[in-house]
Amino acid sequence: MSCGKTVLEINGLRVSLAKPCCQGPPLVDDVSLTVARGQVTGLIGESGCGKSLTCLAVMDLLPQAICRSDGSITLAGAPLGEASVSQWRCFRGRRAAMVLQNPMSCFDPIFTIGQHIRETLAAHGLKGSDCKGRVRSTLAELDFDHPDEILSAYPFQLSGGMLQRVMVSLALLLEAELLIVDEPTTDLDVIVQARILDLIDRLRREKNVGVLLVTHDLSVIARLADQVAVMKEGRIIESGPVADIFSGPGEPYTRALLSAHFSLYGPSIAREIRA
Amino acid sequence: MTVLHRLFKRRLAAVALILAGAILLLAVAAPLIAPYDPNNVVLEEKLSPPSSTHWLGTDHLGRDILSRLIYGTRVSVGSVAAIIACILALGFVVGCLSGYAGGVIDAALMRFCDVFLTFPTFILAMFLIGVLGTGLTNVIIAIVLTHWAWYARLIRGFVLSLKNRDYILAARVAGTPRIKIVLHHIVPPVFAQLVILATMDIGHMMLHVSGLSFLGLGVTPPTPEWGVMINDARQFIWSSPRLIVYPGLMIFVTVMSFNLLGDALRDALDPTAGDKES
Amino acid sequence: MNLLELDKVTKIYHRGGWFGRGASVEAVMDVSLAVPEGGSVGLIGRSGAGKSTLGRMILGLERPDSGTIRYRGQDLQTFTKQDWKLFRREVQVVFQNALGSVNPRWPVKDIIAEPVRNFTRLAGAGLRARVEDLLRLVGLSPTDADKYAHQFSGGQLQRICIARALALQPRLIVLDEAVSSLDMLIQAQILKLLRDLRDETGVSYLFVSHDIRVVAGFCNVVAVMHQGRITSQVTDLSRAEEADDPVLRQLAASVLPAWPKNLAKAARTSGAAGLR
Repeated sequence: MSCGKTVLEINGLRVSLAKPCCQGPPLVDDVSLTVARGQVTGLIGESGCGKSLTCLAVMDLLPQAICRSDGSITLAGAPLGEASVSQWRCFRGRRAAMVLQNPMSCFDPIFTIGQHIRETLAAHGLKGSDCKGRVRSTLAELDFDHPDEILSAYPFQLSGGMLQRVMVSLALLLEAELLIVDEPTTDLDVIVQARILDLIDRLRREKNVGVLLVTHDLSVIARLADQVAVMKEGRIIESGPVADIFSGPGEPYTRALLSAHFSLYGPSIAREIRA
Repeated sequence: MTVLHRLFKRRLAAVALILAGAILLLAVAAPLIAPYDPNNVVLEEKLSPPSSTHWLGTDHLGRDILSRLIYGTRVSVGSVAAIIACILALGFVVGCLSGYAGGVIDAALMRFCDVFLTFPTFILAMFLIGVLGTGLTNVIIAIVLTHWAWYARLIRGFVLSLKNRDYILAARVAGTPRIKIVLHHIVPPVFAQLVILATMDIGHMMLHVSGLSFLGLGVTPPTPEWGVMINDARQFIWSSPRLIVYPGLMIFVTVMSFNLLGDALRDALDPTAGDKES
Repeated sequence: MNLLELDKVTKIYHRGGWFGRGASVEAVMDVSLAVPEGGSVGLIGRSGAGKSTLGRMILGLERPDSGTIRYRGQDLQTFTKQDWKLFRREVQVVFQNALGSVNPRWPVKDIIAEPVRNFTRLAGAGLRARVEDLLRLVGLSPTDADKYAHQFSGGQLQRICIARALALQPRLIVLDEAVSSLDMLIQAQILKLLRDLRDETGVSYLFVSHDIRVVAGFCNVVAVMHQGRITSQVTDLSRAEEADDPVLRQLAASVLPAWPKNLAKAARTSGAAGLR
């Protein structure tokens, strides 16, 4: 395994409204990011700042009214846009996986979890009996006590945290190199939150997965990220190693975020930042 | 932006609105527009093709088809309006009461509705007509009886889904009296939904009236009505197919324009649609 | 004096229909709790612990199966129409889902004016002035009064909900996860707003949350709830990680760090880590 190898590189990404012909004011402007294997890059900003659009652009899943008007995205050495759409989809599905904010809407309610997993694996040419064993062992690895029960359960029978773990398990089964996590903790209770983050941390260490972590919560960044990019109104205003951003924020916006974050932990920590 | 404004912004919706408006106008102003008396029999002119005197020709009794079509609008639209009004009134009261009161009242009302839901429209219509005799009024009663329960159930479901919204709870906490909560928070959205449903159902009801008339259960022959006209024209389907085509076309256009209008209303009545992007 | 007192309040939900008994869920069991006049009480626990059910009972939206809820010393069950009127005036709520707690068909001025209309004769220009005052109080512009819910962000809507809750100068506000789904910056702003309002008006809060950090800096007393029961009540959360109550310990242990790992050590040595 080559630690530190870049798995995702975004260069000068611009996303705009598709009408009229990608010339509208950009929703995401000049965004550049890299994610290395075994590392977590955090993308932080308020809701509506363009974080999620950036993720969707990477997965080539932008809604129809919105298009990528400039910039390049390179995933595991292959640039997006050169391969045909279907080739790219297949490649992307194998190399990158996404864990979404609202896991309930990502599963079809009339199929069991097992059927979902089987279908996804089959789409990538993974079939047969040894597959079944792998699915079970992967689920067990993700702290599911009874993998068979999970496989025969319907999505609505599982909690939000469990469904997120199922999505992570899919990423593991496909041996994805990049995991995109969009607001993994919103709407989950604290204990489930902590567990999901522990899991992502483990994946990064044990499977050498690169993670793009999108959140509005600096404590999630503090828990996991190695690199941070601060996003505001579609642009990245500041980026760097997590320690640098926390100890010496350059932009006033970053400082405001940090002081809001520290104010939750009491005055002693807040004073620290002002000093 | 008003609802009308939003309606006119979409071309298909505007067309539907204009068509529906024209149909209503035909119904209201039939005596002024129609060139002849629809029941005026002139046997010498029977089955004459379209000409400058009879734009759409005449039927097997020499009656002017255009005039009959125009007067037919009156019967169809009038009976459907009566049906919709009755269904809405019944469905609205029962649905709102059942949904908001809940408990025993809800259970009792819904079982009552279930009884009505089990009757097929045509069978009940035939039964009623067998008991009460043929006539438009009995057709209307039959259709209302078989359809109101359906609306009541829909409205109840909608009220139930609204009842536990946080904003209803917030209104209760804010001290708003029950009756005001129903009138201010529950009735308007339910009504908006209803208008859409009813508009889409207008076509369906019209087919019922025409269908029953075609079977000879509703409107009796001399009265101009589209279903009756189709029934009359059956014998001439090979010699003068146009006799069957005209009323058929009228039913088709009316049903379609009200369906499109219903679709358009659904979009226009959504408060979050339209100016979201601005 | 205690504004609100709960004594052994229990709520059990039964599943199943007319025939046969389904399983029953003990949503709230034997809960006793007091909110003093001008005090702020936190109620923390995992989702599904029964916090929201308890909140709804306190608001008089649901009846407890047993036990009593007393407001100003009087049992809610024995309330007359007049008592309810006073209660509705003095006890308000802010829910988690701001978008869901306002009528989407109403402009903001009607949303905020709803409680005012119910209890005062204010109308026309007077009512408008009151609405504008309230909007200013929560940091919004008076011109926002004519807009509709979908034109606001989540944080702004939550301010509107707070303005509605404040419209009648309440004595107690139930905050049901009121900041949980907001962005960090907005969360901090709303918490500051709530704190300022408490200092100005002496209002009491019952703060329901799953996030120990939010209540730690905000409440005098924090009750921990688990599977319908209150497992402990503490006044000081700074030693929550070593608490006797395993539920509280687990909640405290799940709090995400303030600092990244490599900086945390430095911060800890300077005595700044952990909760206050």
